[in-house]
Amino acid sequence: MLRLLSLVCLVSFSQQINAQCCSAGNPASNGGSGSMAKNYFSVSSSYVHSYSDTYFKGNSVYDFDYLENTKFDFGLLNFSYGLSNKLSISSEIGYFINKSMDFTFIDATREASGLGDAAIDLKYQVANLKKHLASITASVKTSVPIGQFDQMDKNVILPIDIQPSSGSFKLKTALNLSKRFYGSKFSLNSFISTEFSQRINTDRTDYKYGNLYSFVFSTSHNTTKKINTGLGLNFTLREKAINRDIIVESTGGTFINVQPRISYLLPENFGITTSVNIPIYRNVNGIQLTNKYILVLAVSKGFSLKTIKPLLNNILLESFNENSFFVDGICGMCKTRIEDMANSVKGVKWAEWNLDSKLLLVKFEDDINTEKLAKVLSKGGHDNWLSTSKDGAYNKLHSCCKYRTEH
Amino acid sequence: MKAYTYLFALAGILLFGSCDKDKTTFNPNNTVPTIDSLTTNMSIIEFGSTKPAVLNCAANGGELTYIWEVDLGDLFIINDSGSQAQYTASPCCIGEKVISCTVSNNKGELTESIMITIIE
Repeated sequence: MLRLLSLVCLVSFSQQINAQCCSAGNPASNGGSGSMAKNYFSVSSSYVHSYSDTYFKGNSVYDFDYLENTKFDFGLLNFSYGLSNKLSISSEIGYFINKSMDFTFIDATREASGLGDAAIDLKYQVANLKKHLASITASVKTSVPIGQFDQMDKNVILPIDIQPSSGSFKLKTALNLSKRFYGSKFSLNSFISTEFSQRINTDRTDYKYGNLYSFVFSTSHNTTKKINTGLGLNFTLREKAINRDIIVESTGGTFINVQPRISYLLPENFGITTSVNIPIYRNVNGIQLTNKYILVLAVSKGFSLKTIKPLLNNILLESFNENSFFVDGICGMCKTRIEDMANSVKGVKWAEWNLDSKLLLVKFEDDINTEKLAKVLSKGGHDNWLSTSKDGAYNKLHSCCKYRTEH
Repeated sequence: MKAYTYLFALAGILLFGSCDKDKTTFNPNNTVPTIDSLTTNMSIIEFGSTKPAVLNCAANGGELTYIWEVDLGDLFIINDSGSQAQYTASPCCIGEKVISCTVSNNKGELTESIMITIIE
């Protein structure tokens, strides 16, 4: 269940929120901060709405009539896959449904839409400190500007700040520390990241976005079996941009935002998450239009490799009639019980459960029924990749096997 | 049988749904574009000014299309032909900004640039 809820929480706390002036590219980071379990696959789709309407000079509101507001509606599609229990890969692609600026001095609106950036993110669990219920994950993310960068509106090439594509390759590195408490009901995450943008140097444009440094501190609480809530605090520092070798003074700054979030686990491993990102402190360089809020709504679905067999027909481990499944347990007695139960299922040649990884490696015949295997394990008291054990079955476990309280 | 149905449907889409050939006809008297002048009524403006600089591109060649461009700041076309535009900028654009106007027709294209300084 915990693992499923972590899938629901795929839309992690947004790691960047900027003043609107001269920002471009995908607005929010997605894909969670930890690595996924081996053979887990998830798809998430997010909708992001952003609205900016207040000018700031330094850290004070500045009365300035130029842009009435800027806003955008953005969609993000994310795929994540656990290559091993330590290494996972995810890819994302963003699309601006609408990006607009309303001007006050002239009755005009500037609009654009189209593909934003694509990204590939590799996450590696550097350390799993089981005694301390903590883990450290490092990640490297590369963004590629796949959208059209020089879009036009009414015979005018759009300026950089409203182009859907950032036009720039970006490299982001991050380190995430996660610690669980109270039987894993509550966890704390700290996330530090740096993002470097490549200088855009084309016939038309010579521009470099300011580098981005952020620190996110967030909580996550399994409020009920199906609901996970969280609160994030994001510190962001963006350097000034450079245009044709000249520093653009009114770009970048320091921002602090809070982000409450709620996730709900639906049947069939579907999950829904909503969050809002609200700035509580802004100290901009020069004068800039600043963000008022970012609203995120996301739907995700998690799969074990077996459940996407139709998609991955006869490839990967399936081709060797082997697969591994997550089964929860805590001790040697659990190991014996899980393996005995698995071996009793028709179609299983042999099964071996690993206490460290919590994975059950199964060698099977062609006609194995994995749903039945999951059911047998949950009836025996062990939560697994497909089903959660009922309290009655769980309570029958020996006291040393009570894995839920020990997590 | 099903495969043939799909093939026929696809052929139908390609036959009837394909784009028409470009039937644009150009005036034979068109010549390679030339730009007589690219001017502005203000070479220095304050950021956020409600009185933008007005730019005018005087060009010849026939059936001309005007494309305007600037890295930072806001340009708007203000006449039907597109030969005039107004420019102003927010605080992020303080400094010298190069505005380009590209004039094109079926005979060719030409770009001219002008500088406007944005001050506080």
